[in-house]
Formats: sequence, C-alpha cells, structure tokens
Amino acid sequence: MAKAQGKALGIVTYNDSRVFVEGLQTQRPIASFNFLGRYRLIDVPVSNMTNSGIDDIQVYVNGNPRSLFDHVGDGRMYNINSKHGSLSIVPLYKTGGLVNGMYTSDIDSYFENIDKIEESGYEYVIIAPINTIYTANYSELLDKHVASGADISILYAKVNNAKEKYLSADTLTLNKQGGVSSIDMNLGKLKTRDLSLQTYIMKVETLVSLIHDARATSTMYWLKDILNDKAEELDIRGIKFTGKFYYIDSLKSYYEANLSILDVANMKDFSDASWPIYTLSSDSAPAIYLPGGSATGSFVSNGSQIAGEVLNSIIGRGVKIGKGAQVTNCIIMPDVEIGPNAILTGVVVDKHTKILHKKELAGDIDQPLYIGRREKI
Amino acid sequence: MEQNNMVAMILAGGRGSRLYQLTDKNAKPAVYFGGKYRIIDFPLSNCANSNINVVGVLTQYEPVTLNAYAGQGQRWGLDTAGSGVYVLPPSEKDGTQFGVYKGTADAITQNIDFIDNVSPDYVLILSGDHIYKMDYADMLATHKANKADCTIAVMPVPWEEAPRFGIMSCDDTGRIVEFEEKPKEPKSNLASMGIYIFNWKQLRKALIDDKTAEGSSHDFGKNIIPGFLNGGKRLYSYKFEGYWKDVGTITSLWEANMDLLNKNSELDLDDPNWKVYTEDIPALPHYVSATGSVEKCYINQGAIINGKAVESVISNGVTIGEGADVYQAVLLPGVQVGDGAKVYNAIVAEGIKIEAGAVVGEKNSKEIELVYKNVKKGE
Repeated sequence: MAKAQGKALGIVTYNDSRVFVEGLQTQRPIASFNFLGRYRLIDVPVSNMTNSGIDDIQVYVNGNPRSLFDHVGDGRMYNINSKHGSLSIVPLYKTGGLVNGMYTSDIDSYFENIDKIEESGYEYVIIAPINTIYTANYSELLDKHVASGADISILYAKVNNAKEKYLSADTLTLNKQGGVSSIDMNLGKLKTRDLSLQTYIMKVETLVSLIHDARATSTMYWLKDILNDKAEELDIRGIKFTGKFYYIDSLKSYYEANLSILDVANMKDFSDASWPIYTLSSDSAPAIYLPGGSATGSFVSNGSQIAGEVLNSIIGRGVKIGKGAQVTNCIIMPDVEIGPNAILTGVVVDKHTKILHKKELAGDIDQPLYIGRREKI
Repeated sequence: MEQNNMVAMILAGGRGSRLYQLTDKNAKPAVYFGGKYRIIDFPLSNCANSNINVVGVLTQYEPVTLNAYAGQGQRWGLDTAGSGVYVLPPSEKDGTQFGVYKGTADAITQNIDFIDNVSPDYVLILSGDHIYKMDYADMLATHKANKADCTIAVMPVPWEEAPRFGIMSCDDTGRIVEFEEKPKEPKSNLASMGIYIFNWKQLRKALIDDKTAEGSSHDFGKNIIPGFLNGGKRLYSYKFEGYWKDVGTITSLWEANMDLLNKNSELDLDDPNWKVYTEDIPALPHYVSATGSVEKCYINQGAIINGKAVESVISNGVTIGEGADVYQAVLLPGVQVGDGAKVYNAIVAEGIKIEAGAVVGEKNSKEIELVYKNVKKGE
C-alpha cells in the first residue's frame, strides 16, 4: 500500500571528488559546512523537502558524520512529523569491506540502503545534492514530473558562464523536446550550458532497477553514469529551474555563495516566512554591539559580541570581535575569537579559531584565505 | 536526570495592568523581553537549570498565548520522562462552580490534586513577572540545611524603596522573625522576592485551613506567610544578590531591556552555564545593510537594519527603513520603522508600523513612550 502521508521519499546525497572545498572539507562532510552564519548546508535541502511535504528523508554521508549527528539529532527542528516521518543520517558503510571515500560512488550508499528505499512504501523518490543550494518546491516539481509522463526528470539551469565556472560539473544535452540525450562533464569549452542541478525525480522502482544496473556495470559507476547510459532507453527529461542557485565545488565558490547572499535580492530565498529554512537553535542570546562595534552590509548571528568593525561579512554564532579589529569580506564561522586591532580581509575563518594578536590577514576575491579549525594565531 | 523532589508552581495569572496596552490581549508573563524572550522564559529556564522537572504554570488572565507557549516543554528541555510543563488554568471541580483563582494561595489550593499526583517533598512558588537568574537547587539546599518549614528568597533593596516591598527582619542565622507588607518605617531592607520553598505537607495543611478561613484574601504574603510565622514555624531567608527586576511598568521594562546593552551588567543572557531558553523563530542572522548602522545595540536574528540604530534592543522580524533613526528604543517582534522615521525612548509593541517620516517619543526624555498603534507621519 502506498503511504497516505507524505508525497515521496527524499534522499540527499554526496558528490564525487570533482567537488572539493579546500580546508573545510578535510574537517567535515559538505553537508555540515556552515552556511550564512547560523545554518549548515544540510538545512537547505532538508527544509526544502519538509516544506514540500516530504516527511521521510535519508541523508547519505561520505565522511565523518559526527557533526551531522550532533546537528540533525532527531530532526524535530525541521518540522518532521514525529510519528509518520523520519530523518536518517546514513554514513557510507560497505558490508564486509573497507571504506575508501575516494573510490566510492553514491551507488554504494544506494545499494547498501536498497531495502530501506524499496520498503519506504512511496511511489516516488526525489534525490537532491548537498553541494547545490537553492530553494524549490519539490511538490510542484513532482507534479510536473508526473504530468509529463517521463521516467526520470532532472532539474537543470541555463548558465552562460560555463567557461569559467562549473568546471567538471554535470551538464545536460537536451533535445528540442526537452529530453535528456546525455549527461556530460563541463570541460569549459562552451559559454552556455544546461547545468544539471543533480536533482532527480523518478519512481522508487526505477531507482532500484538503476542501482542494480549500475552495480552490474561497474563498481566505479555513479548514478549519473547509469543515467547517461540509459538516456536512449528511458524517457529522461529536463525541468528548467529559473531561480537562484549556488554551486559549491571549491573554497572560492563556497565563499562567493555565502557573500552573494548579502545581496538583498538573493536573501529573499532564505528569509521567506512561508518557506522557512530550519536549523538547530543554539539558545544563544541576541548579538551585542559593544562600544566601538559596528556592522555594515553584513549578517551577524546571535551570541556574537562585536567591538570592532564588520564590513560586508558573515559572522557566525558566538563570535567575538575585539576593539579596533576590522573584518571585511570575510566569513567568520561560529565560536571564533578575533582579538583587538586584527585586520582581516577576504578570509574564511573556521570554527573555534582564535586570532589573538594584532595581525593582518588577507585573501582576495579569487583566492580567499582559509584559516583552519581550532587554530591559534 | 536526578530529580530533586521539588515541584515548581509559577503564578502567571496576573494581568500586569501597569504595562497598559502591552497586556491588553496578553498576560504579563507572555510579554516579550530582550529581543527574543518572553518574561516567563526566566523562571522556566531557572527551573530547567536548577534540575526541577515538573513545573505547573497557573494562568488566568488572557491565557491563550501563554497557555500555548508554556505548554511546549521541549523549549526549556522540560520534556524528558517524568518531567513537563503543565498549564493549569482554574477549572471546575466536583461540588464547586467553575471559578477563578481568588488569590495566590487559592491558585495553589485549587491544584492540590495536581501536586499530590507528583507527590513532592517540596513546593517552590514563583511568580512569572521577574527578570533574574537564580539557582533554586541552591535555595533548596539552604532550606534543607536550616531544617526550615519555609524559605523565602530576599534581596537587599535601597532603604528608600523598602516601603514598596514585603520586608523581612531576620536574626543572625537568617531566620525570619518578622514580616511586614509595605511598611511605612521598615526595620530592614531585605525585600521578599515572592519566591518561596515550602515543605509540601505543611503547605498543604495551611492551604486547606486557609480555604475556609473567614476574611482570608487567600494570599501568600497576606495570609499564608504570616500564618506560618504566628504558628512558630521555622521561616528562613535565602539571600540573593544577583540581577533581579520586576518589569511591571513600562519604565522598568524599558530599563531592564537597556541593562542588556551593558555586557558587564549582571544580567548576562549568554552565559553558557546558565542559558535562558526560549522559542526559536527560523530566520537569517540579523542583517545590517550598506545604508544601515548600529551602535551599542542588542539585536536578534531576523531583524533588518537599513537605517541607524543606537542603544536599542531589536527583536526578530523588525525592519528599520533607510534614513530612519532609532535611539534608546525597544522594538518588539515584527515592528516596522519606515524610511526616515524617528523613534526615541520608546517601547514599540509587536507588529506595529511606524510609517515613513513619522516621529515617536522624544530624545533624552524621562518619559518612556509606549507605542501600541500604527503611527503615520504628522501624528
């Protein structure tokens, strides 16, 4: 019997090694990356799903899942029904074998969970990536998919800067009817491409059969590889996404994504009261501006104490910025302490770091400087 | 977590009429404070941090918001097995008409069954009107060490203000020898904070006697405490010296908010060892735009500042327009200050719109303006 509650099974999954965010990713999986001062990236796809009426969600993780378990807990803050819903963090695990993150594909996670997927009782599944951040109503996309009669729908966006950006990302080759004839890697040869947002909608039975087919073909296969193989055989169509999205595949794109949301026009996607982005509350007090403290063009999270100048930056929870310090174009993650008179420009400072003595640290727009977690400078 | 066998009962039924329109449709304990909290978060968080697991909240006046709010025990971590926040409005009982709580003591009397069900050794009586952080577990330890029948939290107040309070005279051991309600010539400056620990069996008996006592106001300060004293019971004081403020007036509510702007004040709401818990509203961190500026402010997530804010407490959902000037103001959730508007020395109630160019309050005025209606330019 199909489940009466909920529209589809939701899966959030990880990326292959083409996506690597220097510094941050050695500490934690992308899902746990801090986002806009008080969120983690996982909050966005999961909130999209729960806001869309998806109540059963599996989050696949390749990497140390500790921070995610801490953050997500029982998922209550995402507004998931405590009786008929569930949110599971599923760390990569291979029966009887070693796990080597580098050489593992998402098919390994799907395959290890195939019973859970099949037994979920849903007719449809929606798969979202962790590194492509956008807000979208999956319920509407599912309706579109069902109405089209396609076997599989893939969300895509038209981009006209594919020579410089999205290198080695998945792009779709679409025929005139909007059908996907292949999924290719962006080699940066063309300016205009149809970028895959790695969001797939299909029947659960279709996914299950693709997983088996991928396993039978190669242990190196990812879901997109088997989809590419099946492009002729199956009816795969693109659904065009026209909203804003943020593709994170490097420290630079992570930095740009965060800072570009300081633009009021981009902020609206994340401040819509009818589409809340949920996160774990840290029960910290409102931010306090001490004498001499100021901010302009910035997000400042609760629990922060600002005694210096903050300009065009994102300040995480519980950050202390000392007197006379200047923080410009920076992303300061939670619980960082920046001492008096320090001058930081274009820097990403990871959690719990202390920059205590007067110091000038500078990166630039093309190459932001990363300061590691729990460092003392 | 280990229980300390004490049930807390929060008297949250009062209207708080000196808060005027802030409590028109809302009980005083549900009034907002400090950009994100409600007053009742303070006693509830104190309970949670003091290892008290069962809390009764006695509501009466305009209880809809308060009942819905206080019933969500998970906000304060009061939702594990054996713990909970129980909202207790007056109810009809066998053989009685549906009534009201006739006094603070009557509110407890009407809930004797509730307390009997939990069967505690001690009952802590609190009010839902004060901003303070107190370790009730430490107070209970003092109560036990003194082998007291009742312990009353007291704090020293300036002598000239003592006539406004219930004043305790104590001997060297802290034992209370005399209690005077609002004395003209106080013999001590130790004021009752309205926080009592009783041995439940004794309080239960006193309440049942008081129920039928002729001429009783059914009030702790007027009847129960004097009754204990006259009966020769062991009443002890528990001296508190931290931050404590009755936010019963517009001015005192504003002052307590302003106290938050000073990080060195005793009221630090960001102590990791004593968090004040509240509801979390999903929102981005607060945003100060390129045209905005902030100076000595206390700002919750979800606020958007496009104008100038100085020495103000700004709640979630507040928007301050370009060119607006906000000075020594407390803006409650959802307030919109239009472009070029000026707000000085004021508390602006939830959801109020101050339209572009409008002016409310007066800079450096001693009077704190309560803005409870939308304001247009020229008004």
